Amino acid sequence: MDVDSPLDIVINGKAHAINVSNVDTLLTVLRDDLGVKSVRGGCDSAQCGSCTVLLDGKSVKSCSVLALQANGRDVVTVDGLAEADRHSSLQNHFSTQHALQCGFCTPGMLLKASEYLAQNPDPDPARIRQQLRGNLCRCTGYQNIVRAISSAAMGEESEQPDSGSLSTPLGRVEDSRLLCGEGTFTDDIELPGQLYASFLRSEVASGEIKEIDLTALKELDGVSDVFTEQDVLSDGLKSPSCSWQIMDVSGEPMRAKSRPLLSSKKVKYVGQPIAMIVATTRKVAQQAVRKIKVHYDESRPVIDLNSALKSRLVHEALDSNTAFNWQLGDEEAVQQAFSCADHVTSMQIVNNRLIAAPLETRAANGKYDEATGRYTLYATTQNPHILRRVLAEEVGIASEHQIDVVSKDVGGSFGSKIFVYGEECLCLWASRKLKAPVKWSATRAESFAADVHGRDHLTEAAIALDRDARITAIKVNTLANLGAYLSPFGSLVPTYNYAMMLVGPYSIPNVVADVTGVYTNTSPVDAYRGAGRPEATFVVETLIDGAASELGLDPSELRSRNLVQPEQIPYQTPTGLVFDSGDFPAHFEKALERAQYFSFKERQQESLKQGKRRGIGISNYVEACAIGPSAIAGVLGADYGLWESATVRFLPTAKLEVVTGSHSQGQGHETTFAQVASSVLGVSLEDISVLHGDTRCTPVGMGTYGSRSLSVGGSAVVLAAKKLVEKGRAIAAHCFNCQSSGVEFASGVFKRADGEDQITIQEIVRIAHAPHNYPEDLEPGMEATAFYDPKNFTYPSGTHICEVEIDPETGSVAVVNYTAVDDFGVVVNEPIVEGQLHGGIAQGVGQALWEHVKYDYETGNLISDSFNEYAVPRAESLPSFDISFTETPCEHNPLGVKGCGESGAIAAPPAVMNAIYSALGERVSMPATPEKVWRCIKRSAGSS
Amino acid sequence: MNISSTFHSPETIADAEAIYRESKHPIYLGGGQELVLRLQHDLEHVSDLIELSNISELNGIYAEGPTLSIGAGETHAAIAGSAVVAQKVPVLSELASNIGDSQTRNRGTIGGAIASKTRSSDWNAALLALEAMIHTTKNSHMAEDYFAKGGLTEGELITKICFEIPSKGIYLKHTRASSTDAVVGVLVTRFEKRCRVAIVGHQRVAFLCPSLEAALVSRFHQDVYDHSYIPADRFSHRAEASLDYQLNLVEVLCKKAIRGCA
Repeated sequence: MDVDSPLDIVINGKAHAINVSNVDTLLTVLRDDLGVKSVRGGCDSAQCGSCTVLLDGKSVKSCSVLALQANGRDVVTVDGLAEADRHSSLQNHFSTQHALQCGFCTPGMLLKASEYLAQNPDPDPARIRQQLRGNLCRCTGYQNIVRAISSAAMGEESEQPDSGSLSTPLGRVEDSRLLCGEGTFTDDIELPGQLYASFLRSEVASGEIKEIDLTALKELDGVSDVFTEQDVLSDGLKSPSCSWQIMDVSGEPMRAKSRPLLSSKKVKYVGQPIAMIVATTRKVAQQAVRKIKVHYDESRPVIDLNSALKSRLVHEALDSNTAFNWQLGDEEAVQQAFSCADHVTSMQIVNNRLIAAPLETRAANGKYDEATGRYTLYATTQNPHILRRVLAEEVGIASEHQIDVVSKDVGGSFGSKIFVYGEECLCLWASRKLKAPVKWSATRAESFAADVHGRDHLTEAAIALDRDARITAIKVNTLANLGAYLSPFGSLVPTYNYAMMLVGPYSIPNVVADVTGVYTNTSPVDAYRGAGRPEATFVVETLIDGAASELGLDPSELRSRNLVQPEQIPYQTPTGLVFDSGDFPAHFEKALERAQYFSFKERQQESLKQGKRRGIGISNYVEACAIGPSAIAGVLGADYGLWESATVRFLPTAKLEVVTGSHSQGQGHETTFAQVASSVLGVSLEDISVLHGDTRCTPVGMGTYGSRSLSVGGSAVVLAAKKLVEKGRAIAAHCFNCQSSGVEFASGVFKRADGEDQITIQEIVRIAHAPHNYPEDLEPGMEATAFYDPKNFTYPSGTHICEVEIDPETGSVAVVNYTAVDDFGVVVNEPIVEGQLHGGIAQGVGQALWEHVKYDYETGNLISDSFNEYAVPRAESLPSFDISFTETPCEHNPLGVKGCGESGAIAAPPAVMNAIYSALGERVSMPATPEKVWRCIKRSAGSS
Repeated sequence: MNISSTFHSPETIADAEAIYRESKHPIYLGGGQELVLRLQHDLEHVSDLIELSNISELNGIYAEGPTLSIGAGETHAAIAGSAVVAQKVPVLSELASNIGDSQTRNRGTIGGAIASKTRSSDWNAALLALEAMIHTTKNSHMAEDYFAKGGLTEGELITKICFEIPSKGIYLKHTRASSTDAVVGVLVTRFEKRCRVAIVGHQRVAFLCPSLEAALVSRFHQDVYDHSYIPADRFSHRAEASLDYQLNLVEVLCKKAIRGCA
């Protein structure tokens, strides 16, 4: 039994006296006992700093302070930062500098920053970055956070950023609540009668469960129930399956094994859910897991991708660990090209396993309402409608029209929250069985095992060139680790998403890719920021540098000779895609100039004088995103379409609601979608609300992933808004007593083309709601819905150049310069686009230098189970990135925009690794840890 | 948790000890960050938590002749920000200001770091290289003896640590990307007629290199470094860093520290 003690504490100037458990942390007491939801936890090991509060003016991590240690003391949370208005000056700086995206880390960041500013406000970015060591951000790449703190330190007025064509001068709409910690993240939601779930997870990577011993649970008060696989099967529930049907080269469909909702008999990876426990408190739910003893009959796990095809079977029902052998491209033509090539470069390329690790872990709160028979699921999802559909159609919880999915603020995702996992399904199901809402929030350790992982390819690649160093073919043979089960997009990522981009922005006439999807006893692998395109770009850019070196050509020269030229656009690639727009030489040349590429040798010499090795690396990319054209998706094996929806609705008082089927995890759609509607309808931003994430009030949509939101979702907004313009035009024509064709519309006003008459759209709205004198065949109201199915993917492209400095004594690699020039077509909100680049580049640098999900090869234990082991980049490890743009509008969507969310993660790894290659003259694999680099240098020195 | 953890906030060492004696499974809480996390994960079974942060006898930073005394209850932040430390023993300022991050430094205490049985602290290098005397409620230990004996005995509480003030000192460490814990840390100090080289890393205790120290006394220059002076049996191959890489780091950091103390 926990012992209670009285706690006297002042929170934001207000005194509280309550009883708390002696072992409860300050974080738990603030959130659960005192309702201060702005303080949030993002890890279990006091690494992430999201829980930072000020204790007697000093920043501390509230997850590692007992509440009683704060007895008699003063606590300040972000709610206590505001001055006269809602936001302090510091918070305003954060907003105008776009120093927050999902907002999850923001309260902790602000409090840490406020301590810094109070103590010693040095505006030096290097010092600020060092001070932020204890605060992780996964979205922003820190650059704008540092800028905001620096501006605040200099006592500057928080200025308005430059307004581009559509950009908003006052920060984002979302910032208002997120800066105060008042976002509603799924774990913030507590429902009356709340029960809490936890999951018993496998501790072995491969085995059979002999016994699940629940006897020790009797020692706990408050366990409501324990559910196992049998309970799930008895109720007829089924697992979500893979949504993308890939055909094997044999003509057979892929051999898909989907993860069971619960596995109480056989386990195939560490962390696999075995049973669900529901209890009256979160603490009891977690204690219960520890009380249960599981007896396994272990078998030797298959962990190493390289030998997996020769190892024992992961799935006994299959005759091998191959899920599919798949091919894209013209094998014969490629063979031909290789046989008469003047030069061939071949190599083995590894793409390391990663995890998205957003600061907010996954959570779900399921509620069944017996009175209405309706289910409501609050969940961290990127796609509420897909979740609803899968719950109904695949899992079988209820019919689709009886389920509501509500997702409010999501604390980052990067792909990991696309998929329907078992936990949220089971929370919803259990709520009916127990007649109470059931809530689950992943611990960080749980997250590392339970979320999908990303990347994990082993590739044999070769490039063929003619005597003019023109690339004639690329061939690739890839082993793609799928994990123990095939995840919903797990078949798409290493096949079409990957192979179709093995051309890069180059004129490569022949490509063939052979991909084998392999089962191993590891967590399932699926989309992670870039989803196949980073893997492809890494192969192409690595091959090119390798070939350049062998041919004695500068890497920029080899690229220059092979770039698709603007005159070739629209360009039909040999893999099937058509680049509808793009000027690759333009950003290539601009990047070379901005990075001062051609004076690199001087800097290299300077570094050498200091005993350091300097390298510079180029990465060109083009990628296919803004998924996507449904017809093409169908051909490629998708079960569904990839359109997006929008309802644009004038309320009777002429305020505008933009309701999107898309969603947001920090990308600022409440701002950008409002901007889009505003630009079409001429309505001010303060008169517009954007609604999303709730199936109860949004049109059916496909959600946010694949950098699709503005391109596809925003285009749906345009189409819906244009319908309203046309309707307004008809009403105006009626008012002016002329033809619709004689009415013009601009900046919110309808004008008679050949006269003085004019009427605002607001007045039109009033008329439409009170249609007393009104066109006969026209319906009342001013609301329109559009579904937009893009004609093609969008093809953003860019050139990133990275410069590194290596200390040969320790092997430490520092990124000293990073230049990015990208073409995203029309840029609707420049700070937001830059922010996406910062975050993506940070993750890409992370992959290249630090991040790696590691397993013990013998036991299959997941070594990377905390931020102590998995090195998410911190502020002091990253430089500022130089970002600029070129522009070739997308030709096929009404906004002219291209997706930008994944470009940084796609372009950065090869830029960094090519820079290291340039410095060392040898390749090391990602992540390029200091020891790896040091060993490479030692080896080269030894052999010279 | 099926343990009843009573929470105490004594204001004197005597009170703290009295509570300890009467408790079944007591634990002292300094900053307590590590312990708090372990409690959340049910890794500790504690009957009585005895918070030390209200005991003023454990505070105080002052120089007295050739030594600098630091109360065991002083936080890393307080030590890093102390004008006395900065002036008298700047290497300790540097060391303290690079432990963890600012939030952890605001809570973690030097006493807690040294007493910890689960982590190897940068302070261990300082204890050896600055010939510290660790004063506890039961005894006074020279740093080397303290490590040789395996740390504190049951119920023993560190009260203050007295460091010998060197004429020069440098602490350098190489860390992993995911943590500020030293993969290898080297602290070199120079006194009037002697010098010390202390090494800390993933191993649980730090150690001195008497052979290297002797060589440096003859000639204080990085050229006297020889890998035979490093007790290689104190290192082992680890997942985070293989043996030869650790030894390489020792050499690099030693030489750099020697250069810095010249």
